[in-house]
Amino acid sequence: MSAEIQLLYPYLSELVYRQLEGDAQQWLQKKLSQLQAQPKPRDLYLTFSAMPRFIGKAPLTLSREEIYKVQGIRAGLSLEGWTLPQAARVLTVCSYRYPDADTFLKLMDQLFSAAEVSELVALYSSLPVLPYPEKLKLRASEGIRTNMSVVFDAVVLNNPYPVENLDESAWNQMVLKALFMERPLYKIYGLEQRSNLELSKMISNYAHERWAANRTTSPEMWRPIGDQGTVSIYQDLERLITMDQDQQAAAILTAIALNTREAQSFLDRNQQLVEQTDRNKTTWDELGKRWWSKQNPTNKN
Amino acid sequence: MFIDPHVHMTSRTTDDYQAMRDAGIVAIIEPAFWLGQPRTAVGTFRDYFSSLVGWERFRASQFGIRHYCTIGLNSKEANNEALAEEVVELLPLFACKEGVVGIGEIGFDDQTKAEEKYFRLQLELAKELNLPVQIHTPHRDKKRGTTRSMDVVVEHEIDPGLVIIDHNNEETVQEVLDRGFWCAFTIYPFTKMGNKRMVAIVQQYGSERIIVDSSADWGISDPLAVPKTAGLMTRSGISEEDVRLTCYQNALTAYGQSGQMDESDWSGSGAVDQTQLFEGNSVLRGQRPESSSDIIN
Repeated sequence: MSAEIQLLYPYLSELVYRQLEGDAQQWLQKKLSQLQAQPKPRDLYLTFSAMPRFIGKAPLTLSREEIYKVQGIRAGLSLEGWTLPQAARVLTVCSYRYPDADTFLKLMDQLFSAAEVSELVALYSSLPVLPYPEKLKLRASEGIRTNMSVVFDAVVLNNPYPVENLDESAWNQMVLKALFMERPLYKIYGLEQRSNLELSKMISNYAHERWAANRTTSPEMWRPIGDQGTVSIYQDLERLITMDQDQQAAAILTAIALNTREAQSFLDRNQQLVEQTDRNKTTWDELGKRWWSKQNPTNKN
Repeated sequence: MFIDPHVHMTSRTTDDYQAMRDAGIVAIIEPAFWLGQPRTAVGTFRDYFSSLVGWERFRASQFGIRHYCTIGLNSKEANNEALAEEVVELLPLFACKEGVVGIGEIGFDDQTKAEEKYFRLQLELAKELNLPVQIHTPHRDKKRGTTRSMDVVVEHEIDPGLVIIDHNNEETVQEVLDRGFWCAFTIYPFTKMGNKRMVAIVQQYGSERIIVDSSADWGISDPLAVPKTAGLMTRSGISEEDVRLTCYQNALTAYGQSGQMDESDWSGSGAVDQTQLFEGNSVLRGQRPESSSDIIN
């Protein structure tokens, strides 16, 4: 077991077991201890696959405090929106005693290559707690390449694996793809930490493409720029302040993060908007949440 | 509400999904079949099965349709024995996945020895896993092929109540019903049933254990065959209950025996994975027309 899962495993088990009836609880306990004591590939595949048949498909019920507690154990990991079989499947792949990295990779390849949608989600959400994380970089990139948004979300959102493992170009593709697939950026862990000039250019170009087609852009799309703005970013800011209040706030927050002389003079020239953003205590997270609830009225994102 | 329990969506477009949803289809079953030409490597089967439980299920969910499938080696490709051997080894990997409602479509095509061998092997797998079986009956020498398929099932001591015999016609219906099997009819222009004939069948035999499907695929076929046939039945004076049974409930009862298909999957509040697949992804991300100017006229 990885150090991360050693800390998280007992707590995650507790959250899963308390939701299970006697029979299901016993079944899972037995299977997991089997995988630890006598690891056999066939048992791994079957336990992993059969999960919903034995423990159902209910959501994992958690309080706010419990979600925070998990984040305290494994920074960047949020169990928000997880299901019971998803969590139990994560426990399953973590319970297995892998003798070495090669065996681990071979078993993972088997599980991934025959996985259905919910299994893929569970596998990708286990990335940050599996042993040998560096061996799964290609797999993670494949998850980012998918067009199944539930699967994409499992790799990209509420998951510390990308920020810890992806190189700059893979990271940049991920952020752009998240924008393209209309996924909420505020759920990407470590967004500002990975800002870079190349990504700023890509974001700016993407905005121009959308504007040329008379399409809207999410105000949070400027957030990944951080303090890595290109020279042309200031023209984008000028354009943003001609739009609605949230786009204006995005321009102000971007300028503050840029922290350059030009950005300061932009802020000075738009004092009123700075005050408006201040007064409303607007944050990137809020801009994101507001945008996504507007785009998906029925969605809990 | 309709179920189309036999439709090959892999070969269909998003327009079809849209039209099916608009016509009231809430759930579909996609049997594993061949792709119009024989495959040459086991990897292509693996990827095909994987797409049935992955990408195609997701694609359907974007249109508010629940997608299930059956997994199996079809009779045509059973004739390449070297390959067939490798494919049957793959089946246990997929047969127990969520949303897999049976082993299918299997059975006879040319009624060769190889076909019979893999038909029997897969019946044993279904028996071991207690899964429904979906049987494709041959186009040529249909009547004898259908009888023979049922004989083989009985030999393996599988309950006919777990077996759906598909692509029936006026010549086969009586025996299939008499022997206690589910009797499915494919409304498929030119080679299978027309829907006027289907109406006549229901008028004569009633609705017990009778199932209507489209088998729409890459040939000239109609993914709206089930709702259209239901419409014709209603206009021809067939009772609402008989229409409901033949175009919805019987398929659900038959394949629901897998434990993988339940009405609450598409109606009611118990459907968690449905919420996951549907609500977060109600339409094609990044491909949704945002304004009227984006819609192609």
